[in-house]
Order: sequence, then C-alpha cells, then structure tokens
Amino acid sequence: MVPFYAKFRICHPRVATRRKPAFAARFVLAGPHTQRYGSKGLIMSLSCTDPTHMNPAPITTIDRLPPRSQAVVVSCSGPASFRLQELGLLPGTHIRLLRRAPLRDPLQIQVGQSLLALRLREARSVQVEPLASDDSNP
Amino acid sequence: MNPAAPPSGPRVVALAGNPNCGKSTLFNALTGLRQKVANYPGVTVERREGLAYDQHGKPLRLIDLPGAYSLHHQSPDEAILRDVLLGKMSDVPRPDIVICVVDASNAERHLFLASQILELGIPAIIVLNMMDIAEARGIRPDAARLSEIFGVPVVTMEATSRKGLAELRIALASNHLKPSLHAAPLPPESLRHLPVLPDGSIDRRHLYLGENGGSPNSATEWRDRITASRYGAIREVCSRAVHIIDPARVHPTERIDQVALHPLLGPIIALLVLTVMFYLIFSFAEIPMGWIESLFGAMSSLVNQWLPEGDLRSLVCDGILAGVSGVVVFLPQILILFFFIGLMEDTGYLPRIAFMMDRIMSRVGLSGKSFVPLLSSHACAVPAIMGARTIEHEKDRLITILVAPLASCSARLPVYLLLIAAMMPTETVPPLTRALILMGLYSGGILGIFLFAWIFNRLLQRTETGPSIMELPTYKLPALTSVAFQMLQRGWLFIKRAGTIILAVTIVLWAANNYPKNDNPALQREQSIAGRLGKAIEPVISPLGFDWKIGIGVIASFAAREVFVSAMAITYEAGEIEDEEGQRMALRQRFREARRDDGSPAFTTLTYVSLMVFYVFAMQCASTTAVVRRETNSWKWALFQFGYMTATAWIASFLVFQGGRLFGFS
Repeated sequence: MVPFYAKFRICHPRVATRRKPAFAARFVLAGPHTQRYGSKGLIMSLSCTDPTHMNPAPITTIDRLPPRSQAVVVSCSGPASFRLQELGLLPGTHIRLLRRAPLRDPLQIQVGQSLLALRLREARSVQVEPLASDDSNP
Repeated sequence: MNPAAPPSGPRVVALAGNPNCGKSTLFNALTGLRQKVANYPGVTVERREGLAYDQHGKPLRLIDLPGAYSLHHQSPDEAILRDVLLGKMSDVPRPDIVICVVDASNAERHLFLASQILELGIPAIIVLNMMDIAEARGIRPDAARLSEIFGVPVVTMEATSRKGLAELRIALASNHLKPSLHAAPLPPESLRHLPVLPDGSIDRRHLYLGENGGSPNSATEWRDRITASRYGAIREVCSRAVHIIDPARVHPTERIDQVALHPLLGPIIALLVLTVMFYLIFSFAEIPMGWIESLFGAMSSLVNQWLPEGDLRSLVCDGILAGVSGVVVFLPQILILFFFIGLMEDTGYLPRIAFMMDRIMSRVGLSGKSFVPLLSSHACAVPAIMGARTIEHEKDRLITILVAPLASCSARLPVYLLLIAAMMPTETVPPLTRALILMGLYSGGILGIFLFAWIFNRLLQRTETGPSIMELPTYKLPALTSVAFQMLQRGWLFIKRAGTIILAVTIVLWAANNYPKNDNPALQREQSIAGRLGKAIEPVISPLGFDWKIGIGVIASFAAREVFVSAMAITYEAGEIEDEEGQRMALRQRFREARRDDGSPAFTTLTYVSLMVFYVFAMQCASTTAVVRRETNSWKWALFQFGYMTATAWIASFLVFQGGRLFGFS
C-alpha cells in the first residue's frame, strides 16, 4: 500500500542542466521518495509518478549531502579527480559526510578508514548517490 | 636486474609511505642521533638521511623519503619520492631495499602506494605500523597472509614504543630480499604503451615517467582505470588478509572530533590551546632568554676585565659575543614553538586547527596550514618561518614565509612603546587611547599579511596548485621522545644554518657602527659608517619626516628592530639607563627637545605616526633574512622579501606623512 503523498517526487536541481538555481526555495515534502535539498533547492518538476517507475536515488554531490549521512560515489570530475580517486573515492565506494568546518567550508568525510577534508570546490566535483540516513540508529 | 656487484659502502635503504604513517618515528627509532638533515637540490623539501644497523651489526644508509599518496606525483615532495625510487635523483643512489610503511589501521589506502612501489622491482619489506591502534579499532591485518600474497617480508610494528624494531632489523639483515612478484592488473589498452622487460614482464616504471606524474601519452581515463584496477586488487587482498571485527563501529577519532570540531566548542578549544602556546612563546620564553642575556653579559664583563681597552675588546664584546648571544637568544622561542607544533602534529590536532581555519586562509589563497606559523610569527618570525615546514604545498609555504615578518613581532613592541610614550604624554592621554594605537599597529601588520598573501598568490599563479585535500589523521598519544628529538633537531639546525649568518651580520654591523673611530662617543655614531649612511639616506627618508638622526636609528635597526631604542639613546645622549621605563622617559624628553637644523622640532605627532607605520612594515631583522635564506634555499626570496617590505614601509610612511601634512596636521 503506497501512501498517496509518496507519488509526488521532485527532480533534483543538479540533475537539471542548469548549474545555478534561478531562485531558492526551501522545500519540505515528506515522503519516502522525497529529499530535502536545503535552502538552495529548486523545484524543477513536481509530477505524479507511479513509484514502480521511479528512477534510482537521485544523484547529487558531496557538498549537498546532509551532515552525518552516507552515500555511494558515482564519479569524480575536475582537476582533483586523480587525487580523489587515489585517496579511495572510487565509483562504488561508500563515504560518510561527517561534518562541515565551523565556517561551513571545508567538509570532513570518511572514506574507508581515512578521514579527509575536502573544500567545497572538490566536494562539488564528486557525484554521489545518497543512501538512507542511519541517524535513527547511532 | 641488480648485478651482484661487490658492495661498495653500506646498502641504501629507503623508507617510503603515506604522510602520517609513522615513517619519521620509525626513522628516528632506527637511526637515533646518527642522522643529518639537508635539502634536496633546488627545492625546499627536507632530505633526511641516517646511519642504521641491521641485526648483524652491518651498517645501512637509511633515507627517509617524503610522505606521498601516490607515485603519480602532485607535489615536489611526491616527485622526489618517485625520482629516488626510480634512480633519477642525481646525488641519491637508487635504494637497494625499500621499506614500505603501512598504517595497519588503514591498510587499504596505504597499500595503494605500497603496491605501486612493490612493482618497481626493488627488494622490499612491508612494515605494518601502528598495530596497537589497529587492534584498538578492531582491525587485524594478517601479516603472514600479506607476506604470502606480496612475496616480501611483512613486519608488524609499533614504532612509537619501539616494538617490532628487532624483527625489522632481522629482516634487513637477510641477503635474500627479493622484489615483490605481486602486480596489480593493468587495463589492456595501457599494455601497448609500456615496454616489455627481457623476462617478459611489463616495465611498470614507465607508468610514472611522464609529465605531471602521468605516463607518456596517457589519456585521462587510462590513469583512472589503472587506479581503479589497483584499488580493486588491493580490496581483494584486504578482504583476505585484513580482518575487521566490526565494520560498522564508529571511528574512535570521531568521538573526539565531535567535540574538537564542534561548530562552537571547536574554535573555543583551539583558541585556548593556541593562547597557552602563544603565552609560553611570548612571555615564558622571556625567562630563559633573560638567563642567556645575563650569561653573555657576564661573559662580556669578564672579557672587559681581561682584555685591554681597544678594538679587540670591542670586537669580542660588541661584535662576537653580541652576535652569539643574538643567535642563542632565539632558542627558547624556537624550542617552545617546535615542542608545541610537534605535539599538535603528533596527536593529530594541528590538521584540525588547519581544518577550522581553512576557510579564512583560503580567502587569500593559502590553506589552513599557514595559520599556526602566521600566528606564532606575532611572537617571533624566526621560529614561525621554520614552522612553515609543516605546510606541504611549496607555493603556500613560500607565501607564508614571505608574509610572516609582517606580523608585529615581540621585537617591535619596545619600539612601539617608546614611540607611543613619546608621542603622548602619559599624564593627559588615557591608557586606553594608547592601547588602541598599539592595537591599530598590530592590525596593520595583520592587514599587511592578508594583503600581501593575496597579491603573492596572484603573482605566483603560474605555479601549479595541488588539490587542497587534507587528511585528518586519527588522534593518537604523542611519542614524546620523538617530539623532543625533533624539537632539539630544529634548534640545532637553526644554530647551524642561520646562526652563522646572524653572527656574520652582527659583526659587520658592529664594524659599521664603530669605524672609523672617533673619541667622542656622541660623535662616534655620527662619524661611523652607519652614521654616514644615516646622513646619506636623509634625502630618501626626509619625505617620511625623518631627519638623519632617526636615519641612524633606522639603519641600526636593520640588525634587529629593538636596537632602535638603544641607538636612539646613544644618538640623543639619553644615557645608559638600565630600567626600561626610565630610559623611555629620558628619551621622550630628548625627543621633545630635539630640533632640526632649521630650529623646528624634529619630532612631531606626524613624525611619530610615520615612524610607527614604517616599523609596522619594514623588514628590519637580519636573523629573519638569514632564516629565509636557509629555508628557501636561495638569496633570491630573502632579498625579495627585504625589498618588498622596505618599499611598502617607505610608501606607507610617505603617504601618512605627506597625506597628513596635506590635511594640515603637523
């Protein structure tokens, strides 16, 4: 039995071709297939979709993950991609965003047993697929 | 490959591994005091070599290579690792044995570099270091299994407590060390580009020979795929040989980080830690510095009794002894700073401070690692510039070194205090106003740091910037012996490298102040080379509002800023007063009475302000110049720094003085 609100889904702004959202919207729509994107999310489409035809979890970048959440690396790009991969950020690797620095930049992530600090510039260049949050069982 | 040539001298053993793998601790444990530190030619990367012995007592030449994440180098440090291991470094022989140091608690990542090195065909030993930390985290690497897989000896070790050293020495004594036969699979399309060795295997050294750490003609995806297949192979090895008891266990470091990197608590803790450090450098170091000064004072008076009055006595007392004491007097600050930096580095806290400060420093193109050196530069630029060694990126290190002396160091304080006291009568001006002026001067220095860091970052753009990815190592208890050892080594290095230059400069300045001779001590200053220089530069400094007498003080301060006070005291015949406050008051009176040749007062409020601004920016410290020369390995940067700072000081003073006059101040 699928609750009615689960049929609403939001396309992530990063999936859209536009790099920068034209305007910001804080969006909260509860449901198993919805995501919160923080203040910079832009609703590109709000459509009624059958959950059985859903795309896989939306691709995002590390800087857009909520703190203390886990994700799987999809790809690295940009000038730092070699080094990021050599440090273990390979496609398929599980990572965890631990926290942001007090001034919001850089970010601390855990890759395997390593703790790394990435600046926003590098964090933006790593595409990840968020995993279900494990906040419920700390 | 390695012909069985008769051994000429000890075998060369290289230590290689990721940063923070405990390599240096192991190096210190193996060599003890038998080590020397130099620089690799042309770069500021430190080269550490030492003499070690295997279990049979045979000597080994041990080289501690810079830490690196990959043989595909991205920094000068990593390029050196590659060059030495491939035998491309002109004055370092290709190692006969390489020891790959691997952090047992993070074997997967550390084996990445190790597996690259193992494929180079050098006989190798793998050291699994930090076994105690791995055990505490429920990670159990199987050394026997790893040895079987890689075909080289694997030694487990806790370098901080010297556990496993004997086993490593036994392994080193073996004559049957062989290169590893393990090789990560290469993507098929890469094989065509790589030469084949006589025995039919691929020569993997060519993977790292190209520009920018890549292989010749390598496409981007090519290198990506090699990395992926190498990690694939390592993960497969780890799944067999590294047992993780509870993969979901929270990193113990994470518990500390929750407090240490807390958005609010984190900066407060850092502030407390740095305040203690700063306090110790700033004021606690005064005590031993006082001892050193009184010791040299006593020696000087002893010499005064023994030697007849004359040039020799003057040379020994005011030249040599003053020079030596001028060198030694820096030691307390250097030792305290390096003890703290060593402690923070060893425990893993220093990278956390860098993490928290990174945003601010990145605004001017630096990284958080520059923060601690620049902060400690407010006590003294000499240890701060040596402390810039903790910055990996060469460009960041150079910029930090270049801007560090802009921080208002403790030598400027006596000058500031004298000028403020002279400018404002204590009786009428509230202390708060004077404190605010002092704060303004310090802020001017900080502003200068950020401004010039930003400018230099723009100017040095051509230098390739490495990605600003920083590792935050796990917290661990510091190895106090290693910290103390490193502290003493830095102190010794300072004496050996910079001390000689400082001594020479002091003697030259002594000569400039004392020759040619004049019987009248008041005229001596004027008649000496320094005095004549002071007069000669008058046309240059008069637009700043300084007359030639101030010029003498400014010239004398090029030895050290605080000399300004004593030089002024001699020039204005304020007399030798031991008490600092008394001397300040006496000088203040003299300054008020001082007249220019045309009868106008030599010191006006504007002159004082102009002079203060000059001292904020001017590079007047022979010791700093000597240290910069040593740390950057060239006079070029030392002279550039001297030039840009003095020019800035002149321009700033000029603007203040002429601008002030334009607006009708006097």
